[in-house]
Amino acid sequence: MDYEAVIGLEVHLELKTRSKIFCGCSTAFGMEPNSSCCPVCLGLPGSLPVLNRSALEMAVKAALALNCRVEGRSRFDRKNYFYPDLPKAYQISQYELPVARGGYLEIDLPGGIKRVNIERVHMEEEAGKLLHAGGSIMESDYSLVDYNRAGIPLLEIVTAPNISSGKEARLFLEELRLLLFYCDVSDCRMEEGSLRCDANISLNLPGAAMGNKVEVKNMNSFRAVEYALDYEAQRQAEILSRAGEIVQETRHWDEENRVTVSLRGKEEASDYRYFPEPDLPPLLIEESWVQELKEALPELPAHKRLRFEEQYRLDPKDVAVLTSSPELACFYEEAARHVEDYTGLANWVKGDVLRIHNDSGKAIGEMTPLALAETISLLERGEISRPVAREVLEEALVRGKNPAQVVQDRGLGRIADPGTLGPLIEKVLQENPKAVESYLQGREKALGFLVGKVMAATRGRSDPAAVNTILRDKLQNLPGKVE
Amino acid sequence: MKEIAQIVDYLALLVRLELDEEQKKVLAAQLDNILDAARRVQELDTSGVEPTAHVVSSRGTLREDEVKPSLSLEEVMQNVPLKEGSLFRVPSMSGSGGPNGPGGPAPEQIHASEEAGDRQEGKG
Amino acid sequence: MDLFRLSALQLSGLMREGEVSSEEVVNSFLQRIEQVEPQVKAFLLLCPEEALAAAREVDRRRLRGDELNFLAGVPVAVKDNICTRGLRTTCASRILENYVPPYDATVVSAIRRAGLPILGKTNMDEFAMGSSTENSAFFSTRNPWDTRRVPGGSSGGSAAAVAAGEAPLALGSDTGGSVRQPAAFCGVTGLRPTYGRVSRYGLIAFASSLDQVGTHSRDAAGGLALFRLIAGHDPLDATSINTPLEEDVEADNFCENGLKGLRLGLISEQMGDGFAPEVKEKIRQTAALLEGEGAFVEEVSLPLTDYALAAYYLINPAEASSNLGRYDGVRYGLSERISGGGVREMFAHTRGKGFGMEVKRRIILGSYALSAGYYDAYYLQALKVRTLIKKEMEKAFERFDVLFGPSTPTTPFMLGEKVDDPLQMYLSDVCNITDALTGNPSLSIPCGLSPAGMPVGMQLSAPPLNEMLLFRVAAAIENMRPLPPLPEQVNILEGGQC
Repeated sequence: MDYEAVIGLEVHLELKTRSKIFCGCSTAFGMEPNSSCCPVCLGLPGSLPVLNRSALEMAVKAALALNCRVEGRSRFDRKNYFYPDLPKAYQISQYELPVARGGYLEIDLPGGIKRVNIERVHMEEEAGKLLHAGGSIMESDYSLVDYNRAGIPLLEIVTAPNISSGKEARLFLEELRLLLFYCDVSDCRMEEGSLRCDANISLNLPGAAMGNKVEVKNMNSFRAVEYALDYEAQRQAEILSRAGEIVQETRHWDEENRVTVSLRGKEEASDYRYFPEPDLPPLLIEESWVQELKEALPELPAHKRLRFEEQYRLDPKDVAVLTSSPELACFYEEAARHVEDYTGLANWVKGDVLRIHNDSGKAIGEMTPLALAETISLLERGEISRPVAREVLEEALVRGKNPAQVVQDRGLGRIADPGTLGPLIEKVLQENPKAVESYLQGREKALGFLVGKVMAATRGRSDPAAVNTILRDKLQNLPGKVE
Repeated sequence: MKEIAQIVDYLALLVRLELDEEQKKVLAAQLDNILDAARRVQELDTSGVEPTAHVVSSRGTLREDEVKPSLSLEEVMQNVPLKEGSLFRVPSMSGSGGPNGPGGPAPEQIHASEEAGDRQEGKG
Repeated sequence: MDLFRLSALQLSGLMREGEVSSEEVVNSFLQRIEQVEPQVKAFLLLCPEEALAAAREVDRRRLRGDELNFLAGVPVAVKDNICTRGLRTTCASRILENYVPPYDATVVSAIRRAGLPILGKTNMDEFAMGSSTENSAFFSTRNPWDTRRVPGGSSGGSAAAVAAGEAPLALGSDTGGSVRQPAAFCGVTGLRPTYGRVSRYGLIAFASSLDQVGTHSRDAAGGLALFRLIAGHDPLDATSINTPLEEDVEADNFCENGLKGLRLGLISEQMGDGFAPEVKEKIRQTAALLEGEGAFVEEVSLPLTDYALAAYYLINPAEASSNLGRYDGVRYGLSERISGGGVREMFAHTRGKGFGMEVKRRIILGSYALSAGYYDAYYLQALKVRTLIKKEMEKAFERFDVLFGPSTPTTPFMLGEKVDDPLQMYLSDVCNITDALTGNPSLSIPCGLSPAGMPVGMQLSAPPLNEMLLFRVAAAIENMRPLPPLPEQVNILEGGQC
């Protein structure tokens, strides 16, 4: 029997505000422990939270990009529990009345587009960070707490349980990351902890009632999500096929051993005693403001991909690369205004531009697209060869120079002048007597070899046609030639 | 009464509050009395009534996203019971026990800034 | 001249006229404190040096001709749940016994900026939970009118300090009567402002939707002046109201408008059987005085106020149980660690050792009201009843400008009388609960002495933002019937033992 997996995701991501969600402390990464703390984020007695306007704005933008309904009236609640990294012994979160509900995000599957429904989007605060002396939580003698991260704004996105496989889950996360990247609300770096994902997964036979749910945690990369969910689906299927019962529980993904591990007995039943946060009045959001934000949203990835395919007649695979960041897409489009061969341009962007970006660390947004267009134009006009074009492009993009200027400054232009080529060619002829002899005996192929030698001597800059002409001429008139 | 005693036990665990047997007994009895009185709220018909969690009906203040000075590390740490460098130190995260278990040696009391301020204890 | 016998405005007047310096004023109160504090025990912490330094600074600025606040140089006592940078702030709890805040509450910044020297931090019920100041983890404060009796609570230290002439003004906090009930017991004026009118930033949270910083003063004018100093919008408190105070009225002649045409409602539920005859007698006498001044007085029934206490004792502990979670021994305060014990044990030991019985009671009660399965029947139902009570009050305020009644059902009770009976203790706030739930401003004013010589308080309530009206009525009553002088009993006992 084939079971169907029913998967829902809970995604937490950090919003990229300058200051924390309820106080003015910096959100910068990598500061000295506890140096970005104030009475509010340390939970000192008497302190009070005040909501960061940007955090709200980013939450609304994300919700709109996910096609959600932004609620005119939402609220913060307190989630009460004890943990050393939680300074107030409650987390300010939105439980009953989230900022937005009911959206969707579409992902591309081989069989077509799938719509993953979003149940809710809400804001909450991050906790501090626990460091365990001597490794794991359970083994160390003591722990140390750093509250710099306490109070970083988080957005929680909860999907409906309509994801069917680990791969779909990964594709959803990738598309979500791209979307929020485009909206400029989060960096979504899972490896740095700015995006986290927990999942619920249950199995059932087609048409049958939902099975018992298992919560899977501790997945630290998009790939880990895929592997963990596929593993868990398989584990549950095996149990069910033996007529066993799935225990409703939380399991951790063990990255090293590639298995999920039960946390049974290590967690107590939760009773979070949620209630409305009295320190923050209900959040009233005006429709007109939401409308403003909606109109100000950038073109979103799905739309951009479609447009690129049509407007530039590009292959979907190329489009996926070109739209993998708003900056890269913008770079392509700017360059495309000056170039006729869109596919050729796509190859330049996918290949050389990304390589130069990776090698030099120079941000795409800081590179001049016109430099690429001009380099291509120099190449097309035959003023430089392809290897030279790549060299020129690197110099132009990294140092912000004009390509024609680079060519001129570094003397990279094509050499067709017989005065320059003549002596060079004579030297090549002297150094390669065998090839000369061979040519003279009637082997045309030897000419190609000699042309190559000349090209190499000028590092590709010689004009092949000119070299050819001069070379033939010189060979015809060799002093020792026997008629 | 038995039920309320169990509830007190459960709640004390939930909210991390150590109570001795005498305190539990007293609290259970009092909780029963107080809840009896508090149940008066259930006499009123509140169907269709919105709860009032906040008496201020305004939109509430928002703050602009500006970085403000944090406390100095010295201020952050001035009341800390136990620290290591600029970090707060807490005992092991493992549930209960350790080698000595719950019945181990007497608690060691750690106070911050013993010398701070002068308390006027009354001179009578 | 005994400067400590003068009201805040009299002192301010003398200083503005150059008759006395702030340093002299502060010294007078410090001497008075030295004399009577052994009997009254109002202060948890005295800071004479800081107070004198602040006084000298004001004197210097005055000599230089600087523009000074109306109350500059008038000393003030501050309840020990209001954060004072560098001055220990304990909430009268073992768990914060040595806690020194690294920041000032917004109200403290305001009084420091205005040049009011802080004399010290006043005693209170632990975390403001109580009505007698007997729940202080350190010692009980005595009622200056009879030191065998309680001063009320939780701001008992503040009220007693003002009543005993140890301070002309004090800051307290009122969650469910904690300013007004001790004001009544000690025979001083106590204001609970409109919720949101005064910043709560730096007021150590008890029940956040109910907490307000309030004032204790000898008279209405002093209370109004201090209120005006601390009121106003605070960007650090999201529940702070952004409505300016009513039109500026000169603080010393604001009562000239009289009471003609004012509609006053006497709450009949607070004149019933559970209320002491000597209290009701004083309220009726005062009502007659008000009528004589041209006010319209009529009894009004507010049947839902009978449910207020029940709703209050669910909402208040629920919020408190959450607010007090942070005292866990990690970042500040008491930390009880067992060798070999884990973090869980540290939490439980710290809280078990650090909190007194009333605090434990509220934490347990509050987490019960919020816990899964009980939330709807208790906490949520209480919030709905709160809505009904609010509507009933709003309706009453359509007919009346001010509602009034006794501030307390009885005159001050004896130390130890109710401390083991929480329900009886809770009942002593029964008159004060309604305004706390609805957020209305409410003022307790001295209403004469009972035949036994104990103060009786009258409570006046107005619609939101109408504090000025309350002070107007209070001042009119003061004009008709002068306030009693300082209680003499603390003088008689001077230097004696207690």
